[in-house]
Amino acid sequence: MTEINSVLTRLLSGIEEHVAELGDIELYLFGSSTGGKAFPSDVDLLLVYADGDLLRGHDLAETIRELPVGEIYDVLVLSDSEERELEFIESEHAIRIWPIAV
Amino acid sequence: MTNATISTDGLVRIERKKVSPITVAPLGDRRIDKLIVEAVLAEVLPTAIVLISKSGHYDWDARELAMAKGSTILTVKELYTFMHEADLRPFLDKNVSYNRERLEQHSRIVKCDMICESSLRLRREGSLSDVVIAIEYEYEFSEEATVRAISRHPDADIILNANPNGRATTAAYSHARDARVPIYKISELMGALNYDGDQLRTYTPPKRH
Repeated sequence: MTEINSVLTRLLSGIEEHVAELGDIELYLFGSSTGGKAFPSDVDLLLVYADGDLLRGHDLAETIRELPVGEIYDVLVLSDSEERELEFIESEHAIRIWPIAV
Repeated sequence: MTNATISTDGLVRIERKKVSPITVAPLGDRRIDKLIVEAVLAEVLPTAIVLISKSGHYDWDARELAMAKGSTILTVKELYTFMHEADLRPFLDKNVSYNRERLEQHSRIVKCDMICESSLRLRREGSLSDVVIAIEYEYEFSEEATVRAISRHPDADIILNANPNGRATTAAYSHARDARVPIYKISELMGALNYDGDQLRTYTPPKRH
């Protein structure tokens, strides 16, 4: 989990000004990003927003995509309904990084 | 790539394995047009001007101008993809170049003009109207991907998902239908281009038996 935590730390520091806007948005890592590299070149990120909150999800995703940090974030954005339609989290074994599990 | 250093003229010099070094001018502009190219090339002559913004564009005529002067414009992805090429200046994203070649072979297409690095205008024969195509590449084409594509290419008539294995969600198709900007794969687009108006926008390929 150390590698995932380091990705999360860098991501959250990049979107520090927007953390309060996350609300009920969920963030997941998937693909090669979960493979254990401490500094993967591309970070595959899934952002799931509540149905009807498309623009908030879009705006936050655009902020992450343009982060001027080491990683290149490939952000897939799905509504709750779309995630259920695709069953993406289960099929991709995506790992939730936000909200942080306690 | 073996090393990268910033030279005194502001260019990044990239040493490469087995091929000669290149210099790049990274720009943070949202859109690189001819004026920006002229301003850069009046000062320095990099191997490539590189578009850093992931959601940004470079105008195709700006790239042609840069190439005529011995440089080029590349996205970061294009720079990475073709880093091993001795001369990487003429290369274009493979998803775009492949689909442009396919479209140029269509019997109804008279001319295929690039607008930017990921959109093109198709001029069609006879009374068929011109069509602007935005090329995207997504495995899961979501509603947000549709919003982003339309935002990036507000003049687009059609979104082409260049991923042959890509799939769009119900919400993505619904949003695209409301915006009157359909999402097609290349095989669907090749069929749709025989038509105009609603038939162009709502084309469904005939089922195979």
